[in-house]
Amino acid sequence: MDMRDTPIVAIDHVTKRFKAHVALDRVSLSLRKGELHAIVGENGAGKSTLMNILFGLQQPDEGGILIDGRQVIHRSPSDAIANGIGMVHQHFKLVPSFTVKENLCLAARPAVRAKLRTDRDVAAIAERYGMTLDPSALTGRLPLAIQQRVEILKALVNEAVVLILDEPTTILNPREAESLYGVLGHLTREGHAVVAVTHHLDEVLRYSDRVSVIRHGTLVGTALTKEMNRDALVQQIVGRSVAVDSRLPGRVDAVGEEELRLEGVSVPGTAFSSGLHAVDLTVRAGEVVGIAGVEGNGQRELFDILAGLRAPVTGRVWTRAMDARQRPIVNLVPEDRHTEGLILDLPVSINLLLDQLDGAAYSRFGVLRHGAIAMRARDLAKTYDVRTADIALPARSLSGGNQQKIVIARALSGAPRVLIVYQPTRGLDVAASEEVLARLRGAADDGLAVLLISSNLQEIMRMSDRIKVLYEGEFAGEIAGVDATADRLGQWMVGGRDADIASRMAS
Amino acid sequence: MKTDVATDAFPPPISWRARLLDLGGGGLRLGIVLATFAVSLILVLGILAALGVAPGRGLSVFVMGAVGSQRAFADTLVFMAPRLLVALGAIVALRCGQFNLGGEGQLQVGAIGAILPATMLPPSLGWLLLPLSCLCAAAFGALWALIPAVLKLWRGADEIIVTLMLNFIGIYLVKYLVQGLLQPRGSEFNMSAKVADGAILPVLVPGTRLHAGVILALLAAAVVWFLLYHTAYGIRLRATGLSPRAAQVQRLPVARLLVSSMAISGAIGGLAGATEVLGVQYRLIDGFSTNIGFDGLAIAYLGSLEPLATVLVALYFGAISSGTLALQSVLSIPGALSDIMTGLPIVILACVHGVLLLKGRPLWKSTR
Repeated sequence: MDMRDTPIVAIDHVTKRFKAHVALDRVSLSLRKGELHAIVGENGAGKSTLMNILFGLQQPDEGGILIDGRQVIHRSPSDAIANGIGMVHQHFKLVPSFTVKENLCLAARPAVRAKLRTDRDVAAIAERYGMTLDPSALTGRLPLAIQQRVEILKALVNEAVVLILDEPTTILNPREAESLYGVLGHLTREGHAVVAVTHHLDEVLRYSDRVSVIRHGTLVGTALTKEMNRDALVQQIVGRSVAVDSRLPGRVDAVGEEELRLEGVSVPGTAFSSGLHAVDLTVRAGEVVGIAGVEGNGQRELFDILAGLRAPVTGRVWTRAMDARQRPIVNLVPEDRHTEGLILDLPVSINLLLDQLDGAAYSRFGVLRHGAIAMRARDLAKTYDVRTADIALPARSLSGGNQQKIVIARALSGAPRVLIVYQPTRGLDVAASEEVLARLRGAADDGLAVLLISSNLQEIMRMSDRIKVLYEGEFAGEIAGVDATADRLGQWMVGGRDADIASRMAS
Repeated sequence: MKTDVATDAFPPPISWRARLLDLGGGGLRLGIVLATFAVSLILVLGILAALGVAPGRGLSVFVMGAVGSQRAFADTLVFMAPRLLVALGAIVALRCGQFNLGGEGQLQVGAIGAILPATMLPPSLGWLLLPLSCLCAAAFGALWALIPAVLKLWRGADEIIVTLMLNFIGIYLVKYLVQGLLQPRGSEFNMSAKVADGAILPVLVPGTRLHAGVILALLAAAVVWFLLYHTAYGIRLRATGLSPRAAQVQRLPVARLLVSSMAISGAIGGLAGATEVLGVQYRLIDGFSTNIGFDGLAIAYLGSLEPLATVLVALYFGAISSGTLALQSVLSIPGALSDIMTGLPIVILACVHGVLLLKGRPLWKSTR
């Protein structure tokens, strides 16, 4: 260890228990001046708990925190902030009806509030950290990537020397993510220590200086990133090796009849999205059609229309079976499992069977047959490997991966013909993602028509038989999964047409 | 891989507050509610002392008046019944995410619904008049609650505003009717004719005011509990209240649930009006409800929107009503003390809830 790399913060043998469960077991970790320190691990490994303890949101049962070699106790976030620690949560804590400046003033400690008197003060501070911001803009109207900058600034105006970011790029498209790491690089060059908790191993390998791996509440180790590679990292995270780069090929002979068809479907755009413009699409039984593209190019509208949440202004949607209101009958894996996929406060069992409770198997004259429900739910939980101590527990109590398995189990268990999948692995760790993708591929091989909408290019390329790219509400191109390259898709995603690409290649 | 090692471990820094909050779950919630009632009682005794009443004497008169005799306890139950019904109605709507603050209006209109068959139909129908009057009260209450539901679906009108305003329309509708259409010819009093004998909720214990409406209210609590926890409809209703967006994506019939939950809510509120008219007053009288509808809403929240817990809270509110009545008549303590006694726990709990909300552990989950 280089003696100049003195730690600013040392987490010292921290243990945290929740009842009988040990969330963190004697974890020690140091953060150095000027480093970008990535923390990786599976869902539920204890990364968030560790960060919450550092930021004073939770108290350790044993062990503690040292700042500049001095023992500190963070009873609340305000203690942590006073000690120069800032945190950007996954879900922003901004007042949407306030301007950027007002949000900063609200978060600023009294001692530093004077520095934020005018819009120009605020703009100057932003500039110092390499950001351009309009201090008088209403925060709620800003794109998420910009709101995140405001969150970062909130920490910086409080003179944070350590900045914690929890899953900072989950909500960002690839270009925004790159730009975020640009800003973070600016901070580390100025001597800040930046901690990023993330699932995106590519980002870890590309941008971080050191990486710590946490598994089942213990620190597996900390290493210099340049000495690590992807496979080694995955092995450490999961505890075994997982193949994550290979294609999941479909059985070509399984492709059958057309199950889903969109003809000239249009929806007007909004400030945040381009809408859809006369989109045509078909999906046949047994194939996975991938819809790639940067978020905001019509994906949400496409999902909403297929889910029957809104009707197309022009054009029509066809499936073999339509419901009473002429909406397509499809099964869904929605984008946000917390607000769309699950009722978090209802039991796992009810969530597994929510759409089938009316059936004679689960209710008689409207009265629930709890025994039958529990039995079927336990079966499903077993089949789909939903890990929970009790199916009567609320879905909220499960880890993200297990929650997503509930959604998948429900979507696949009703013998569907068409499945619409929107960002199925968002926020999931490597092992859980692999399981979800394998499950979906298997369902397609069994004759299900799968439409996969995702901004994760790798996922699209590995899963899809055919790939279409959405750009500003239209399909920029289509390519067979086996022929797809990231370059080609990337060009389409930012608006390049085949003709442009060809001419550029020629020149 | 190498792990950074820092200095020796040191003792666990855990504040008592963290320990208390870590208890979590229902036990803590129940404890907080009980502690709140205890604190309120102590404050009320302080107020009595300030009024020149020895706290011991005040307490004994209050307790005797609430539960000291068969008659006193019967009064407590009679005060409980309509409040419990309104609270149960509120629960059905709130658990579906519909903010029905119109319990008072639904009760008033329900009372009108009860009085119509009870005074207009031929008395020869006998005991048939009772179920007819109750059904009519429920129907009126349901229709009154359907107004905000339909306006919400049709035009996106906020049901909080509409239900709140309909309370006053309901109150003035009763005022208007007992001075007009329902006032017996030649009468100078602002009240309707007496209800037919067959429509009266029978007295259960002779010599007391205990009437069958109390049984009706307790039954209603069991029915609402069963509906919420043991029927497919109840699960869908709660799912919609907990996460409207997810309910929509899962294709639950959200619009139908909205309308039906409001109708059921209003029907139960209407029944509350029937118990007052058919069990206590035997007439429709201007101002017959002393804030029963608003008490009911408070009871629903104090009972954490749980139908069975709500029975206990409603009983407490009933006891306060009959106990303060005794204080009023024996010690000439102003009746406003009853409002203080019901108001204090609400204010205290709202404060505790606010503090816990900041800690991310609200006493109640928002149903919106």
